[in-house]
Amino acid sequence: METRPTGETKEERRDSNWPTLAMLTYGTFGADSAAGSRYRVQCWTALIVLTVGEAVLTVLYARSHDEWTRRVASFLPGIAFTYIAWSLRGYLLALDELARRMQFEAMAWTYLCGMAGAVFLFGLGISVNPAWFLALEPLRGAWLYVVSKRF
Amino acid sequence: MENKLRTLRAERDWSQSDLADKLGVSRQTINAIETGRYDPSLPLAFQIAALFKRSIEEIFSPQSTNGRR
Repeated sequence: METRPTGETKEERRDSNWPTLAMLTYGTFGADSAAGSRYRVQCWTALIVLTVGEAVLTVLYARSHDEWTRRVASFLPGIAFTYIAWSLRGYLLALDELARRMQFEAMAWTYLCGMAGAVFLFGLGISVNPAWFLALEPLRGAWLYVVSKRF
Repeated sequence: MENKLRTLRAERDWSQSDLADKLGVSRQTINAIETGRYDPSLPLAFQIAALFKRSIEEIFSPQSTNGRR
């Protein structure tokens, strides 16, 4: 590695280089670490199981009209996203202190924006669908990007 | 807060990644500490001090170089 007169190396002259794409898409710091890779796999597993499961259950219900298929289908999204939330918890615990602080800060800003947005919509007489809260996940990624600019 | 992390690291010819691996943190965290954009926690500061065999006061001083946190 090239050493500069001040003792600095090429690497040190770079900015922090937080992974922008991973922050904006997954809301993480990339899949380079074992935890990041695991979280990504777990997210995709949950989403694929959810999609395929819902499709299969919809077909089964259309054919048999069994009540249990409808019940399972209604629980499946909750189960999938609980699994994703649990995976995110594991990911956060594996981060170092700065990365975890940035994640929590991004979550705090997202929460406040979500609250403000919900109240604003309520004031306009628009009923808030809980499914809209899924839109907060990209917002968290955006906030993570904004927060990363400080470090 | 000011620190001598970059100097101490350069004396040992370690890259930011080398130091990050030794401390169990990311390279970005080392970069943020060195540039004064992030003050490490007390446990990490102790870990850094132990690694360089210095006291915390020898590495970190309270002069603020960057008011934004």
